[in-house]
Amino acid sequence: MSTTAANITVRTSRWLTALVGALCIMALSMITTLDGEIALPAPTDMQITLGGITTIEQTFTITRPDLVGLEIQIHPAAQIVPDLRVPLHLRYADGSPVDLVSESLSVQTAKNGVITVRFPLLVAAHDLRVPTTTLALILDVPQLQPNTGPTVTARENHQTQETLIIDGRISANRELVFAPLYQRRWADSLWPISAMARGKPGILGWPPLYALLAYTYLIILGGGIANLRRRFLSRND
Amino acid sequence: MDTGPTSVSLSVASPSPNLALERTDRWRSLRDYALLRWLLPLALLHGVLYLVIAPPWQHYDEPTHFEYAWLIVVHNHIPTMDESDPQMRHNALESMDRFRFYPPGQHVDLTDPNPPEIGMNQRYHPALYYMLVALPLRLVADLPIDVQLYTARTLSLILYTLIIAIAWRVAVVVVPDEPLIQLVVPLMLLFTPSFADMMTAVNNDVLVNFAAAALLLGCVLLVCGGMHPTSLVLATLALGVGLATKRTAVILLVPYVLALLWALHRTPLRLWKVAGVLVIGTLMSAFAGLEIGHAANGTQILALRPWLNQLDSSYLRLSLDSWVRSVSDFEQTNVLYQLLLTISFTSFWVRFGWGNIIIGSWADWMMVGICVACAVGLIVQGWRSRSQMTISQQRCIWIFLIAVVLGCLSLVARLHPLPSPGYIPYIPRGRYIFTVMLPVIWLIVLGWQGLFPNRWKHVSPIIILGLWGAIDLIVWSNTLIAYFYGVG
Repeated sequence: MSTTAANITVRTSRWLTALVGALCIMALSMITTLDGEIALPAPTDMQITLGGITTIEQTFTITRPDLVGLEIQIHPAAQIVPDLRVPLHLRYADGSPVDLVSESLSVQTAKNGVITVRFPLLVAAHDLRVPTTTLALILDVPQLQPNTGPTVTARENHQTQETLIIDGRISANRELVFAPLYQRRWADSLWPISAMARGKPGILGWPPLYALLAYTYLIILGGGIANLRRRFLSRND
Repeated sequence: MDTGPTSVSLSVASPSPNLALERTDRWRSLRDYALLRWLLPLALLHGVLYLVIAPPWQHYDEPTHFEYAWLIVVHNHIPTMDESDPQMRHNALESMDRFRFYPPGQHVDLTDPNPPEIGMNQRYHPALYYMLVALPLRLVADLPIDVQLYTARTLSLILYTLIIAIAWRVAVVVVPDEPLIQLVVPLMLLFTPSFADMMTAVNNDVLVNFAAAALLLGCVLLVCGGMHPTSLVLATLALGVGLATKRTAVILLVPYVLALLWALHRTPLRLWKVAGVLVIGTLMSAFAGLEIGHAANGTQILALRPWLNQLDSSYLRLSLDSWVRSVSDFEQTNVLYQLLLTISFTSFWVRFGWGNIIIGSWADWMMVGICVACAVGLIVQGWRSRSQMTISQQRCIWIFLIAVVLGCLSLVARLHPLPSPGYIPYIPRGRYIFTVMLPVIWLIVLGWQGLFPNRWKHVSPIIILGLWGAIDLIVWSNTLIAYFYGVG
């Protein structure tokens, strides 16, 4: 009787350990953080006043797949225009002009001259083996008096292949100052579960599933082998 | 009236020897199935891993195999070679593009109202497999095409899981007193990564492989248990399903006939008599049907005799003459056979996806080493164990061996007739003989045991199982991930 009870206790504790392990795996594979490329002030920074401008377009290359936001340097004007909103579009630089993201920036919400735009995880249709895709950030500036209104920051950059276009004219050797925000999943450094889930339908699009599947398989395999080993050893005894 | 309860209590208190024996048998049978309770979820999870890791469309001809089943669902009849659905193709191409099916930088034109082909038309195959796939597909016909594809893959997953159960049952029947082999054979089949990859794809090979495994179980049941109706029905049904699925199942006819013969004639046959009948039969058939002819370049080759040629052209329509001429033209085929050996061997063991994903050359060479060593070990084992094995076991191993040899010969046969000089023919891949994967695994396990002295014989399968498990782990956790997801 006591042996049976002990067996049940051992079995239950094994199941519980496996379950706790599964919960840990799931929790760990759900942890995500934001990675931003901080745009530090530079001596060549210049302010572009939005008044009198219709559109500002800046192409940029994303270096990682999971783009989830942008931090744009924008300073409200000295004379506050109540509830000034600047429509923002994010598109592929090449191909048809389909909006990947369409937002309206409320200039008054800028904190320390920075507006953070967050959007659902952007799955860029690029080949992961060539992880670069060029996107275009477009600001549709509302009608304002010339040289009035908020300003955005641009700076000199002679190295970049990316282009700043203001009202259809290329502004050579300059770029808009902003920082892309990427989602970083810790578990990806061990196994690329985000990439595995990307674009897949239903539950297959949930990254922790892959970690849980691998874990469950290995647990069942290991548990079974240990069990069989015990059985064979006891038979040989 | 009074005797009733007394007799019951008596029977409970001291069971008759027969009842006790029956209970012991039942208990043993339940304990036997305990292994299956572990194997089935393991196989299912292993299959699920392969199923979800490979992105949509990333198996041999998966788009067109899927298209065949999809057309059955939508048109409610078996499609002709020319039938297609532009919207389905558009959706499939869009999905293929989205899941990076095409090389970097290459995209399909999705605005074209007449989308291009999505692969090699598969509608020359019999419809049985596709009708089966159509059943679950009907339930998800309104959902996105990716969901439909994964649903179709799920049928393969179920068949893969069942094959592992069949492999276990074959082992229990062939070696009832060797629990380690009963464990190692199904696990090695489970761990064979190329097989798991194929068995979780949308492809009619999946059903042929399942039918072949079921047939093998029927055969060993017939050989070990005699002409039992269940075994006969299982073997016959499995053969029927195989033949109605793909022509690669034709090689299964030989093990089936052999098993029937051995089920009827259960006493030993003299080896020299069997060999004599085979040799004389082959020579007589060859003499009756073939003659010496000449190739275009003047070399001597074999050709059909006029009567057989006439029969072929008027009835069989197999182009036998060009096939025989091609096979016997050794000058032209010599180099091709080397190519066939390399491509079919590597694709049998260590190629994935569309045959483009490799583990590394070390794995190729390791498999060569294991196979050569196991071939030697098989001879040693055959000699060493000839007196220890029962006649049924010997016959089962003969069936495995014959199935594997026929599989290899079928690959050679598939190469012919060769095209005109200057054109490179299609070199068949190893997947065409996944039908004999289970017999191959058996021969590997037996051969491996033959490499070790008797006192190591019982632990040697653990070593090969460990190797297999390690390769499998490398494949699903690294090789496939590195290829499909760019890291690993």
